[in-house]
Amino acid sequence: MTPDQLDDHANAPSVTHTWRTRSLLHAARPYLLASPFVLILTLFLILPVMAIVVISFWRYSSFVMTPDFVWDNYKIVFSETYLRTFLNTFRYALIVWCLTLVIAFPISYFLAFEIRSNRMRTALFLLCTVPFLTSNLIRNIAWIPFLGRHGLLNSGLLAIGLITEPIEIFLYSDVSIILSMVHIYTLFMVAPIFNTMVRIDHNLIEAARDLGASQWRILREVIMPLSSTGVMIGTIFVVSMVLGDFATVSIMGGGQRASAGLAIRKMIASLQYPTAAAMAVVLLIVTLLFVSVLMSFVDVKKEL
Amino acid sequence: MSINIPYDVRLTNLSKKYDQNVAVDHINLDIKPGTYCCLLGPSGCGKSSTLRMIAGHEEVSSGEIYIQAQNVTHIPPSKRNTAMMFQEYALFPHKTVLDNVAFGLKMRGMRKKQRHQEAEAMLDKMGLADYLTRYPAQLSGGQRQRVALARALVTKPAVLLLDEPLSALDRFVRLQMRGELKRIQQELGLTFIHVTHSQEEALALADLIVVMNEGHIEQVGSAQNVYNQAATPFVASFIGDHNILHGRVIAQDAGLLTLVSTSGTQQQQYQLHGQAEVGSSVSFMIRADHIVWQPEESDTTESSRSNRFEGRVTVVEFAGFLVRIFVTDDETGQSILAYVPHKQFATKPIHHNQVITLHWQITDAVQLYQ
Repeated sequence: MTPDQLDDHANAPSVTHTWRTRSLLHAARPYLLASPFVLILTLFLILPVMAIVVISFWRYSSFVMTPDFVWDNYKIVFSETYLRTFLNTFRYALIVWCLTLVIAFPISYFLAFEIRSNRMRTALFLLCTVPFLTSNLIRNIAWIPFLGRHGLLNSGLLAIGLITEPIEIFLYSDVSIILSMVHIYTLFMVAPIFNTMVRIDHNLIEAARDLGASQWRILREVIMPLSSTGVMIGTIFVVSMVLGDFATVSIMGGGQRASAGLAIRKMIASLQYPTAAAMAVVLLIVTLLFVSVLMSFVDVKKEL
Repeated sequence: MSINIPYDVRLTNLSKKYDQNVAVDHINLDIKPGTYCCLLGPSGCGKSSTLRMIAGHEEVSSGEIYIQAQNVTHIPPSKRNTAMMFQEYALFPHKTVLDNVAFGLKMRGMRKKQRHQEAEAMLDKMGLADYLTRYPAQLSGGQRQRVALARALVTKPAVLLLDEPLSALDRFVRLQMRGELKRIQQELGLTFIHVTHSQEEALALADLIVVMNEGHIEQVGSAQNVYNQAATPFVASFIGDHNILHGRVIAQDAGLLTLVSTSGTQQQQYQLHGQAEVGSSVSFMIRADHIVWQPEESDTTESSRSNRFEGRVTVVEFAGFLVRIFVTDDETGQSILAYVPHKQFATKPIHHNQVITLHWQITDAVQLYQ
């Protein structure tokens, strides 16, 4: 191409035009690619959340909601009854978190360090996910014939003579709620811990042993610190899910137990939308605070 | 204490089997105190398994391991008076340089203040005094290697085991660290056992080279010995730079063998000094730099004391201060590698497909044993 030809091209208006359009398109590309997701998030997350925040300040009487800016709903939420409900929810979260962690850590350890073959490890991990082939509700309900007054557990214990009368607290109690929650949420603790553990270089363990570390010290000094991000992520999963749970509390509590999620559901059922909204806002803030504190300890990007 | 014992490490009939595969097959080896020993061989030759058995990270299938007169075959790694430096170093990513180095002392129950003092002194020796609070990810490859070395040495082992310690480094740092390893070994007077697949590394570092192949030892000797007097065809080919030729003995006269090349229709005769029966097959090697090419074929007395090889040049490669040429005899298919000094090449270039005659002295041919 001679310099003259180059000049010709530069002067042709149509060429400049397409070139400009193209570069614009090129610059817009990432935004265009992100836009469907932005749209979905805006429509189905941001707008509803904003609506909830707005409604939480509205007034309502038995059947009518009036746009307003009052703190009445929050006063109800912060009344003793609902503070107790929150407290109870936190208690569930704490207990379930402890139990899932205690169960998940050895499972992950076993999968990551005791199982030598990769295929076997994947197979066993998939086995852990089998309960997820049925819905949460069904898994909850499935506990009822087992735990009930005339359930398998009680009849079994009666048959072997360990007890003389059926034990009532197995079902529709904190025991059944926590049992069911642990059952449902343990996998959410196993998966991230397992994920960080399998990536621990086995040479590190050998190096520690070479330097005189016992099995316990290896666990304490190497494996636990290196899987702590997995524990953090699992904690975020489990705690935020327990805080928002209402189905398990409803089914396994038999209407006797309260949690924040269940309270919101009950308010909605009795058409107290603004109070429900206020409760939801408080729950959301608590959960976000908790998650943001934990996230500050974790480099999530590194984990993905 | 080690003065009275003729060895730091002794392996007797040591074997390792994985299911049906034999990784290490009844090897025997004595390593004298203060030796820099290299286990050299291709991957899968059993050198790493051997090292890991000495360290105690691999169960011994049969045989025994002694370290400074103590039978350590079945005792845990930390009680063997050895320390291992791992390939890729295996530094604890969540611990600082100081805590990495102090780890072994911590496991021995040393108080924090004292163990930090000792670790600091060791790191100072390695020139890492300014990096105590860094994490391994913040260090260069060479620095990481020094931390790993400090961590292994801080517990004062009698034997240091190094698994491919230089393979993770780029060439320049590798050469530098190679020198440093040798210097530290000599300063401390410790026994180092260094596993490598690089013959260059082994030749540069080792007082004692142990060449391994398919689970057994092919040759044990000094670098000079292994290079000049390869014992087997495997050693000769693995060390590189060597030509291996075969032939059948047709005459034997006071240690001077006359061989006839057995391949092809063309018969080629060679002579060398060695021991063999007439009629038997013999392999021998000639170093590539001992093969000479003389542009002017004149001196007949010279050629009477030497072997000849005529062939067509198939490869001419520039290799810095010398030029690598391959000469192939089209009749027999036999190829010979020769190094021509660059100066000679510059005045008398060799061309591809040129037919030339190479010579080597009878005394430069070394008989190999199967």
